[in-house]
Amino acid sequence: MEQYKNGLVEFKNVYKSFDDKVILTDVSFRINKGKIIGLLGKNGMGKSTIIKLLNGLLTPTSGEILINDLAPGVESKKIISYLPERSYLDKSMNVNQILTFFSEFYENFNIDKARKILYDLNLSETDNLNKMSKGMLEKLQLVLVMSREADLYVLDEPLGGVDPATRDYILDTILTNFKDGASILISTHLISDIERILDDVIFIDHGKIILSKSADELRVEYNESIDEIFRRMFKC
Amino acid sequence: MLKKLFKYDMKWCLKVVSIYIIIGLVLAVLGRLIDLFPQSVFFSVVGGICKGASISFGITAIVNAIIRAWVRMITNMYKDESYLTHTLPIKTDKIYLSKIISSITLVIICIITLLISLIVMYLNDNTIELIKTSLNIISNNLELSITGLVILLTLLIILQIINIILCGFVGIIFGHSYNNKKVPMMLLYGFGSYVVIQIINVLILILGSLFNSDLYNILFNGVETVEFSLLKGITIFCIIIYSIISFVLYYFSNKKLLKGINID
Repeated sequence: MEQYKNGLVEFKNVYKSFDDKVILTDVSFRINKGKIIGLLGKNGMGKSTIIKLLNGLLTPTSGEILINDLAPGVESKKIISYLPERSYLDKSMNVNQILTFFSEFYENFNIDKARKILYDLNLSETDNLNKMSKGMLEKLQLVLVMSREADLYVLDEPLGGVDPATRDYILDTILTNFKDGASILISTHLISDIERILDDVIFIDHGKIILSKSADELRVEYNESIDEIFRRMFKC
Repeated sequence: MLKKLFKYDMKWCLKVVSIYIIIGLVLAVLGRLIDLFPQSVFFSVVGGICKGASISFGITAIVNAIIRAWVRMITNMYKDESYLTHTLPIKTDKIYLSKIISSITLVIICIITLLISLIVMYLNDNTIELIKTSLNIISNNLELSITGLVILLTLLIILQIINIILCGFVGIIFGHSYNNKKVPMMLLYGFGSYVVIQIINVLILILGSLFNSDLYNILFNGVETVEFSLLKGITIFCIIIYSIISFVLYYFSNKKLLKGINID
C-alpha cells in the first residue's frame, strides 16, 4: 500500500471567507489511511465548507490543502469518492444511464457492485431519476459513491434526510461496501447514530476546530459517549 | 475524456433542440408535398403556413441551441449538478472546452437543418438558376470563386454566433465569481462584453476610415453605394477581428475558471 508523506489528507492553516464573512479560521488536521473520521458540529459551523475545499469545489482564501501530497485536482478526484448533501445527478437520465456515466468517467467504479447494491436496495435500473423520490435519489447516490474503489470516501450529511429506521441500513451499506484500507470522512450532526463506527472525531465550531482526537480516547477521558460530549460542548 | 464530455453535453442540448429541428423538417416536407397538389386557395394557404412555420422552427432551434448551451453551462458548472461535474477526474478547462465545442456544433447542426428545410421547400429549376446567377454576380465583383464566397460568408456567420455564445459564457463565468448578485453580474458581464466588442469593431472601422477614403465616405459623408472591393475587405477584416476577439474571450474566461470555482 502506498504511503503518503503527510497522511492521506492534510489541512494546513486553512482560512476561508466570502467577502467579509469568515467561514473557516486556521483549520489544520490530518486524515490517515484506514480511519473513519467524524466531522462533527452544529449546522452552519463550516463542515460542508471543509468538505467542499477538500473536493476542490471551493478555493481556500489562504492555507494549504494536500491530498496524497498534492493540491486538490484531477489526481485527488480519482481517489476521493464524494457524497454531497444535495442531489447532484442529471434528472433527465435513468439509473442505467447514470451507471454508464460513472463507469465511463471513474476508472475505479465497480458497476457490478453498484448493480448488486441497487438490487439489495430495491432500486430498478430502468427507473427515471425525475420520477424518483428524494429518499430514493439519496440511496442511489450512496450506491454510486460506495461502488467506487476509492482511497477516501467523503460523505456530507449522509443521514440528513433519512428516517431513523433507514439510518442503520445506510450505515451498514457504507460499512460493508467501502474499500479495504480506505478512509471515510463523515460530516454530520446526528452523532448518536454514527458514533459506534468512528475511529477519530473532529469537532468544529464557528469555523474553528475545537477538538480532534481518537473516539476511544475521548470516551475514556470524559467517561461519556461522543454524543454526550458533543451535547455538552455545543450547548446553546 | 473530452469526447465523453462532448457526448453528454450534446445529448443534453439535443433533447429539446432536436424537437424543433424535426418539426421544422417535417413541416418543410409537408409544405413541399402540398405544392404538388392542384393549386387552390386552400392548399396555397396551408402550404404557406407550413413553410412559414418550418422557417420559424428552424430559427427557434438556433436561438434555443444558444440558450440551451448557456443553461447547460450554468446547471452543469454552478448549480447542483456541479457537485458531480467538478468532482469528475477531468481538468476544468476540458469541461469548458466541451461546452464551447458542443454549443458551436449544435448551432451549426441547426443552421444546416434550416438550410435543408429551405432547400426542401423552395428548390426548383428557377431558384437554382436565381441562386447561381446571384452568386456569380457577387463572386465576380468580389473577385472570388463561388466556393470562396460561400466559405467566407459561412465563416462570418459562424464566427458571429461563436462570439454571441462566448459572450454568454464570459457573463456566466465572471458573474458566478461574485458571492452575491450573481445574476445581475452575469447579465452585466454578458451584455457588457458583447457591447464592448461591437464598440471595438466600430472604433477599428473608424480608425480604418482614416486610411481609406471610400470607407470614410460611407461612414461620414452618407455615401450609400458600397464598392465591392471594399465589401470584401470589410468581410475579411470582420472575420479576422471576430477570430481574435473569440480567442481573447476564451482565453480570459478560461483563465478565470482555472483560478478556481466557488460553488454555492
